[in-house]
Amino acid sequence: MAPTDDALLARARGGDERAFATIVDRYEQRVAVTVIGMLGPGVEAEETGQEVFVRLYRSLDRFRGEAALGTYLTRIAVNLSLTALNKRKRWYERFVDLSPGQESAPPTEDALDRLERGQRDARVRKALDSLPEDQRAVVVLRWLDDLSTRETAEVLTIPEGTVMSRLSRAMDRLRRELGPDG
Amino acid sequence: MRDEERWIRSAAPEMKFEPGFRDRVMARVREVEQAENLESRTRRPGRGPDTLYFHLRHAFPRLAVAGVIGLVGLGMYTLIGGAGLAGSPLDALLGMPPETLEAAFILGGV
Repeated sequence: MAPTDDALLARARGGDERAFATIVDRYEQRVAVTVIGMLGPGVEAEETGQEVFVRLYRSLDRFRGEAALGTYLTRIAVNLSLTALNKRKRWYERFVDLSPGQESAPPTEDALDRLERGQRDARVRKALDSLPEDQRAVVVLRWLDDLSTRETAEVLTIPEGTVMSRLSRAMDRLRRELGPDG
Repeated sequence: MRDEERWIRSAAPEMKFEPGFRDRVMARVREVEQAENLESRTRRPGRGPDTLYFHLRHAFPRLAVAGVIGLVGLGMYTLIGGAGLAGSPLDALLGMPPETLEAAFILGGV
């Protein structure tokens, strides 16, 4: 049977590196979805993802399970992503080119599939990037991380009503971005 | 499920880090650990950033400079502007009456 998060945390506190590595394995995908959803793919997302786990490591002694480990990590991931977005605003030239770059692929069936997937991902990326940060965080947590409204409110420390209103405004904008004219 | 939600959800599986993410995290964790060990070895006991000694040591230069500026200012005032005053320049600065025999008798109720 796989060890529980609490057991892994206790072992990691005692200096067991393998236990901490197991935690990283367990939550890598969840953190990836959060930071890539917020920042887009690239070096910035990778570094932010690493920093999430480094922060957890440094706070091992202070983390006493007030929240579930997944929620705790998601909260760190969202906060660090928001910080990165603010930095990006200040240093605009650091924007990552998010164009799919697959237009020159040969027109084989596989390449057409990849092209279609690339275009679809690029449209989703563009649509997510078009959202203000507060709405983007709600969309990422609700739809990509699959959190409930209550969990999303908990992570962002906002009321549930605010989560719903932000999601509703985000949906209006996404409909325009992803619709046939988007 | 609405179209926009379906579109966004469909992108989730593609959102992953490059292979070897765990190893890169563990390498950074080791770096952090080494840096912290080094810092704790070089820090003398009782002289960390949370001690009174540390705060006093950092506050001292500012207090010393402020004190010197105050003394020099008072000295200059005494030399330049305080020569013609009946009382001390400090009394004049604080708006106190000059220390005269008459004032002493009045204050003492004699």
